[in-house]
Amino acid sequence: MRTLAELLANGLLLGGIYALMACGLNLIFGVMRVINFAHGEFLAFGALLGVSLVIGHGVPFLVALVLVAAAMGVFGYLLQAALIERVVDGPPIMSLLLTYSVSTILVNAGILIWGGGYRGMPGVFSGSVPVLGMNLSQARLVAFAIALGLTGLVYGFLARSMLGKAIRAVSELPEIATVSGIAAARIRYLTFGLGGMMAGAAGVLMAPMFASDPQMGARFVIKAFTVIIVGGMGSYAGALVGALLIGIVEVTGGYVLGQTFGTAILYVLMIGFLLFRPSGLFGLRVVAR
Amino acid sequence: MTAWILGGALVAAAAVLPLVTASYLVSFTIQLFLFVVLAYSWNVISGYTGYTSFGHTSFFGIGAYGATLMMLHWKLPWLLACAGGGLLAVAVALPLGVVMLRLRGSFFAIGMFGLARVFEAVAFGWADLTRGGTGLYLPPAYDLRPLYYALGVLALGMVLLTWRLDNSRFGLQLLAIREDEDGAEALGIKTTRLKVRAFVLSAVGPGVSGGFYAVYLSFIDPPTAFSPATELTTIAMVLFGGMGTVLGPLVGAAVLSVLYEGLWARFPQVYLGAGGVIIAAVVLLMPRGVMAVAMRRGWLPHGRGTLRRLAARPAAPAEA
Amino acid sequence: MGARPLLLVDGVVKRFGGVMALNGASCAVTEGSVTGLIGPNGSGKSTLFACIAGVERPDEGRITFQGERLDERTPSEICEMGLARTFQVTRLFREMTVLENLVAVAHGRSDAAAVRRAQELLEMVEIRRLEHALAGTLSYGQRKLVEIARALMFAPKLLLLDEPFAGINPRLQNRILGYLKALHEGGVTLFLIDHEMRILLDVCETVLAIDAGEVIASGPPEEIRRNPRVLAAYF
Ligand SMILES: Nc1ncnc2c1ncn2[C@@H]1O[C@H](COP(=O)(O)OP(=O)(O)OP(=O)(O)O)[C@@H](O)[C@H]1O
Ligand SMILES: [Mg+2]
Repeated sequence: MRTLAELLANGLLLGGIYALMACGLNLIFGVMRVINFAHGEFLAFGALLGVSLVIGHGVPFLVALVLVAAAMGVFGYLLQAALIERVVDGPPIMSLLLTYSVSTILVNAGILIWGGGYRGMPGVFSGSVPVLGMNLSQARLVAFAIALGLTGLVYGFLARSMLGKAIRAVSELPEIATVSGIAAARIRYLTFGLGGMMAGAAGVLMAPMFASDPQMGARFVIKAFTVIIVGGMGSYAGALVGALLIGIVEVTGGYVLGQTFGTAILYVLMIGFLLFRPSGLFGLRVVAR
Repeated sequence: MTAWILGGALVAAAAVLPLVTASYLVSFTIQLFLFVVLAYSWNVISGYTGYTSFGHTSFFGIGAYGATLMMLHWKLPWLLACAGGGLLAVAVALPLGVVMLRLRGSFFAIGMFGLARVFEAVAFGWADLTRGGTGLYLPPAYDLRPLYYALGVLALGMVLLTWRLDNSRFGLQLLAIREDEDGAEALGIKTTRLKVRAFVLSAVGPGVSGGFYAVYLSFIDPPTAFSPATELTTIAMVLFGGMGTVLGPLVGAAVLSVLYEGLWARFPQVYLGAGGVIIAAVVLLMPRGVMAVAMRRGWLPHGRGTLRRLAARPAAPAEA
Repeated sequence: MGARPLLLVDGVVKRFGGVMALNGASCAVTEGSVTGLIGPNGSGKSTLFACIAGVERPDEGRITFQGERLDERTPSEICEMGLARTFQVTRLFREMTVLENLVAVAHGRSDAAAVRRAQELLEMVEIRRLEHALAGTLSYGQRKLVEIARALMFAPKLLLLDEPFAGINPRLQNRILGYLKALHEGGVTLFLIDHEMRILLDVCETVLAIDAGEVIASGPPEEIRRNPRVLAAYF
């Protein structure tokens, strides 16, 4: 018998990983008003790369996490520099179509590399630990702690460092061409890299919890969309709170209504927020229209 | 004039095709017709009106399930059941259009994408009706020719409808919404009513052809009915041919169908990514598609010829 | 005098967030008149037009046209009542031809009738030769002319013109002035925003002055020009 507290705790833990993914998505949206449809594939690649490193090559989990996050960061940077940058100033639908196409290309590439099947990461953080009388999965606890830590780290970077402040400045006023002498284009590359890094890390953290496959991105990107729409487009803190909320809704919804309808609830929530509260919970700079 | 002769020849060739040739070509053409219908439908809402939908498979799936269930439970003949599926799609599209078209740009696109996933989840979850992931089976269709002609007529209908639209004030007003919705509204164009009309119109083709597709496969399950790959292919076709043009979707559907067929036969492993590559290439290299490029280069006349013809009367004598 | 007001604006308030764009603006436009509206930048002129045309909804106050409330109607209903406008920053559909720009906004009528009407109007402003040109390729002055022709597609009784003379050379200004005078003689009431006193003095019977969202003076142009409150607002 699962208690309500256990459900909430599990939802919260799941939400932590969503936060890592969604904060990156929202960062990208905030800086360049691009909705990255390929964000789910960043996550999928992160997870599958992580599995390959840990299971295939015996790399320790934490080392794999760092390696994969760095690799996905570089990938995001290059993707922005090579492709997305060309449509940044165009109508929003062009960048959406472009990232949509990148998403399918990555899915296909993933299938070519890893095959279409599911891959797990058995033996890593398996089992559960008692916390406050609840039995919580060790994988989820570790993932939650690291994900929140990383999210906070990036937040600190945005709040404190010169570069982070420049990113925030562009996010607040995308029209300005240069900030503190740093070209806006470089800032966009870095932002996309940062987003890629966060999604890649989230993928690695998720790998011990769920089996991964190249098509998993579609399942998660829509959750990340829901998170940022509920939390508020472009708001970093909003994405964090939204993610925790969505994690809870998903887990309790899945428990009450079954897996399929539990997920459908999220989409309904997303559409509802889009229609009736487009600024989300925290988005002050409304852009939904 | 030459355009009409060419078009007539094309239609005639399509009409005799199943009488003279093997089933492979018929099968291929059925799928081509299917994508012609989907591409033209998507073109109405996303090409002309500028509301890019990532979830038009919703109507395809609703039509497919609607028609299949009507055949299984009410024992309707397939043609009638497919019409019923189309009606069902329209009945769903009307309220959805009113609600969803309040969103704009990327938000509409994502909202529609989410909606397709909701319908897919319903199809999975409502197992009493849909048998969930197992899917529904129909008696196999041994003679594909009736289906061929039905889809052919529907495809032709969509082409003619788009030609009419392109030459009408309704079409111009949809283009006005695409360009500057607030401006159009301020100028007295009834934007809400018009875009909902376009949305509903764009659900008819997917609704009816969804049923046809179920008959063609004699099977339907949620991933087939609400397949993002179908959506992607349709979008790639219209983008390639040219959004908001009369012939773009036809050209796009024909060229990409042949391309996909070749890929499927020789490199099935990159089938999925190819659609992505095409969309990316079009977005980056010719965002208006081949027809628009041809028009701009003067190889083809611009659309909306009827207006031009109406305008081609001698200047009125009275000068103010 | 004694002519009845065609348009009545009564205590209209419009806020944009913290900005008070209109702060209880009241004025009247007499039927058959040419009325000017002047005021410093940001004083609320365009906002007043937007409220009249139904594009913005006033927060308070009422607007009536021929005795009927406007502030609860949609822009398209207002157009059909015979009230049309041009925009300060031209707002043509750039990827359509000039003719199509006009036909797209036609109400009722068959397409053929709409085309004929559009051509007559283009002839009137002497740009019929541009009918098949893409609107996006036109010069600024040409776009202003198309906007005027397009507004006339509604056969308006009242035409709102937001700075029709701004940013164009004196020759074209005079041409537009000529068209407006012809329209006026044809019975159309004109309500126009402009900064140039020369033009307002030339065509307007009445000038309204607006400042900080309030109509501060109204009267014959000569009078307004010397009104101390107007001078204070402008300088
Ligand atoms: N849509 C809007 N959102 C927010 N503020 C607005 C909006 N429209 C107008 N304003 C503000 O309302 C005030 C009045 O603007 P308006 O455009 O009516 O001035 P105007 O008199 O036409 O000025 P100008 O002579 O420069 O055209 C300004 O402070 C402007 O910034
Ligand atoms: Mg103004």
